[in-house]
Amino acid sequence: MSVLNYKECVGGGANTGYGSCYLDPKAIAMVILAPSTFRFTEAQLASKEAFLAALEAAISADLPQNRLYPTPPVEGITDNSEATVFATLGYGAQYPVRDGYYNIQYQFLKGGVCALKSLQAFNGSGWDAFLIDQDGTLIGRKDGKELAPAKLSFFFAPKWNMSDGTNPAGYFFALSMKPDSINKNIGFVSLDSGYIDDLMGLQNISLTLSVPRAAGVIRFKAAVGCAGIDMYDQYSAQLEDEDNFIVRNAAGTLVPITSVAANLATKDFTLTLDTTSPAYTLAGDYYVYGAAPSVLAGNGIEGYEILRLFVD
Amino acid sequence: MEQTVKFNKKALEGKTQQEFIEIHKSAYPDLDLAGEYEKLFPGQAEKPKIKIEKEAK
Repeated sequence: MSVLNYKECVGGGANTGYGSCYLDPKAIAMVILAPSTFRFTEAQLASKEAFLAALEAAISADLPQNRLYPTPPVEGITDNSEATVFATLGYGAQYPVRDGYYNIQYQFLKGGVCALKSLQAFNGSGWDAFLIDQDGTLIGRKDGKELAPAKLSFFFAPKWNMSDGTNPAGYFFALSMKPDSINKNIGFVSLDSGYIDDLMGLQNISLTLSVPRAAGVIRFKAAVGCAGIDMYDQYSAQLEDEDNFIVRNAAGTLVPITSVAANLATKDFTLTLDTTSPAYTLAGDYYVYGAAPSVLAGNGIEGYEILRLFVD
Repeated sequence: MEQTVKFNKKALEGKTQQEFIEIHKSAYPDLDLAGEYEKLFPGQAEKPKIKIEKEAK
């Protein structure tokens, strides 16, 4: 068929009947930030079990740029969404020009400043999001036979508000998006409402030198989160494994780790480096990296990522 | 000081007992490193050279 002077017009309307069970989103309980290229594939959407496995794997993905980042549970929202924009025509009719943007501010409490700092790292970035309501319905955007995150125009986590003595300190994040993603193109998966109670992103493990570095010896303490909770008592046996750590010199060359020790008296850990390795120099700087989250999980340290330690 | 040490056998393959001791002696001064090497690589420690002197006739 020739396309010359042809305007394709889609017939409007759709059947308006409905059954006894339908999607009626409840209050949003959680937001999951996702890379804009992220998709749940057709195979992952084939069953609830496959979907949950894919969701959990994505939350602890080894590569940060491929990972999903759940926010803390949402405790309230402020809906600043834009109203539909109408133009008033000459004879008085109101012509709908466009639907308004969703502009939602979410309040949370769990995780406090620590979680807020992490969310602020996403400010201005090009991440998209899934929403989960209190019934456990995960909402995103249908992309063919796949489920994509809803497209955000922006994400912003502002500074925390101080407690006034009557209310707790306020922690918020806001997002803005066109309505298309979760209206015309909405895609969703029904999970169990209890499932989201256990949904949490990876936690950071920070390493800090416990004594000045000596020849071939690095001693450090391991702590969780920005609150710095010492991990020794709970995880000393699991952390005492050379597979949990990677040491590189300043040029990026691997320096073999010859031993790991857990020191009970000082509640710290010792790494010894192969001082006979060509990658080792007495005066060189080193970086201690954590192994991938999947390796840590395999060693019994599930749900964590070790942040890099610079040793000069 | 109570301490548990896990040696990385793979990274230490091919090291002599003397090299093993040199690498670890500052980190674990109280540990019997010669004994640890023997546990990791049984029978591979260098035997002390036996000096046989001929009896003067």
